[in-house]
Amino acid sequence: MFALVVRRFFQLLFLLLGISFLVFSSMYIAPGDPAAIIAGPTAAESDIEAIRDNLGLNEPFLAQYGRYLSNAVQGDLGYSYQTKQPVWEAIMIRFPNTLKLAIASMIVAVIIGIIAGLVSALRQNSLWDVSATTFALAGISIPNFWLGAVLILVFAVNLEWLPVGGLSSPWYTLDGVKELILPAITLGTASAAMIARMARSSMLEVIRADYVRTARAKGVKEGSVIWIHTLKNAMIPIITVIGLNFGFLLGGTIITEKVFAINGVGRLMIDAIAARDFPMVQGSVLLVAALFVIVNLAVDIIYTYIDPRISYD
Amino acid sequence: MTTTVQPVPHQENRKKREKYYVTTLKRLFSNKLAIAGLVIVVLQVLMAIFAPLITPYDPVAQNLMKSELPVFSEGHWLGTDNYGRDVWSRIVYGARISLVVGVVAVSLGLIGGVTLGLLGGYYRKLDSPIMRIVDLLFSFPGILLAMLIIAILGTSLINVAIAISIWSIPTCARIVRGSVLSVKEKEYIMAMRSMGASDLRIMVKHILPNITAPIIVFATMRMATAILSTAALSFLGLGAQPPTPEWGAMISQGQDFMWSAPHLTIVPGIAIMLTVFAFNVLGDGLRDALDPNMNID
Repeated sequence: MFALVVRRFFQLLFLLLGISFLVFSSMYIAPGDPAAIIAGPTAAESDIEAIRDNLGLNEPFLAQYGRYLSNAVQGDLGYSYQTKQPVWEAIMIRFPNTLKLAIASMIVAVIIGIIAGLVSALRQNSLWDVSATTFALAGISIPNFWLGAVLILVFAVNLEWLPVGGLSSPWYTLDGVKELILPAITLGTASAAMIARMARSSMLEVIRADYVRTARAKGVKEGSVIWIHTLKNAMIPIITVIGLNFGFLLGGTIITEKVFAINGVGRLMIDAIAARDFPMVQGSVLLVAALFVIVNLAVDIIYTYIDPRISYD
Repeated sequence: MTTTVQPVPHQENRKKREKYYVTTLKRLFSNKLAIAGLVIVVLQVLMAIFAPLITPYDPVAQNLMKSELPVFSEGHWLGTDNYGRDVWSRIVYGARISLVVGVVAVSLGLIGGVTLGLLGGYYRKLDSPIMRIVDLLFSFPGILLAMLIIAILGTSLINVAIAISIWSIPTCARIVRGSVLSVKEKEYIMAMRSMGASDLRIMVKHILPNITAPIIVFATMRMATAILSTAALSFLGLGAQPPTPEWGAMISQGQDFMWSAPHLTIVPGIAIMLTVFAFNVLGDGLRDALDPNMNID
């Protein structure tokens, strides 16, 4: 187990290096001179050149990348062209909101997904099964930005039960929870649908296994058969989907933040792309991608704990 | 002098192939959900092709005297938007945009993915470097990768198609590589090699036709993702720009009028949902029909 963690950790480092290279070179080849953007439209050529020198933009590509990487490791991702604010600081102010949204959506997705999948498998071909399967199909087809708009229309505008948007209250207060409900459902529905599909097929497969029949034949109570004998084994593929979906949710926060006017990393990124604020785009993409691969690594390690037969040799 | 033609093996092959197609179609047509998906897709394609014939108005023509008319209004059965543009006409032209962007994105993704997958699966030396690139692309959530590409290329529908195609490459490459690995050790490939056939000929003429099933399923499912992502990127303001009648952009514009004209948000959303649903269930149906044991989820 320890060897696996160490090996995967080194693989992660290489992947992070690759991500940083890809992100840096993408911004490097993007049209537009950063020095001219910083200097503004009325700046003299000499001023632009001075900024270029100051930022090291006249250095060769690899030297620039090396400096970017060494600064990034120390938490220095440069300064925003737009606001002149340090990128790291701007991201860190907004990151808690993005994380809060992703975790709340994951909770919604796991609860709804597993319950729908289990009920569907245990009552195969019943009305419950049909309803859960329909939900799973609709869930992956609904555009989440549209679902968010419809939820706002119904629960915030018409019924006035929940706030229209924003995440300003602490999550542990009633207002904080209320603010999270609609965005979490919006973002979590597609993942809940995918988890439900996987939970259903995985449970159906395990529930027909010989050892489950043996357990039943030995007179084990149905509750124990489901919760103790089948669920742990059925959970392996479900955890894969949950893990993959956490990354999907991190990407999805970008859209949900826009719908609910949440001040998160996603919205920061959209504004930065529109303004061609490259250091901000670089920093936020780097952070989300790094988090995505770290989550995937954690999922890999959890697999081996749940199913010792899995080996990455 | 006469030459003797021995048609038997070819006829047998043709019969086998015909039987395979018939069985596949039978399986597909026995799946009601897949048929529903197919019907919706065909209707969408017809709508997109004959858009000028079935829409009563120009999708970008404004008529401020008739702004924000509700659904089932006279002459505008899906109402009008805040500029008095006919929502039905915009939805129909939107289908054209979604399908064209989807087809372009998926085709470009297939070209990239199939090439990388074929090379990686066939040449052992290329496998590792290609798969590392694929792993690297996989380490970005799809929408993030698309946004990074749009940040470089700029905001437009063509760039959205390019971004989605690059996002499709790693998944396609992995599927194709896996299929190539299983096919390339088959006896008929060995036979072709021993007869001196070139690698290119073996790959294009003999391997590719035998791995079309997972590629077709991937392409169908990917159309759903591509249409959804095009709408999402346009919703974020990174794709179609006003007054283009693109579904995601229509929802984004409609959000400001949710109180007074909710249909501006609801109608394009239903159009996206139906289309994505159709491609998803058709993809599911094709997967089951082409090979019941195949699973590319």
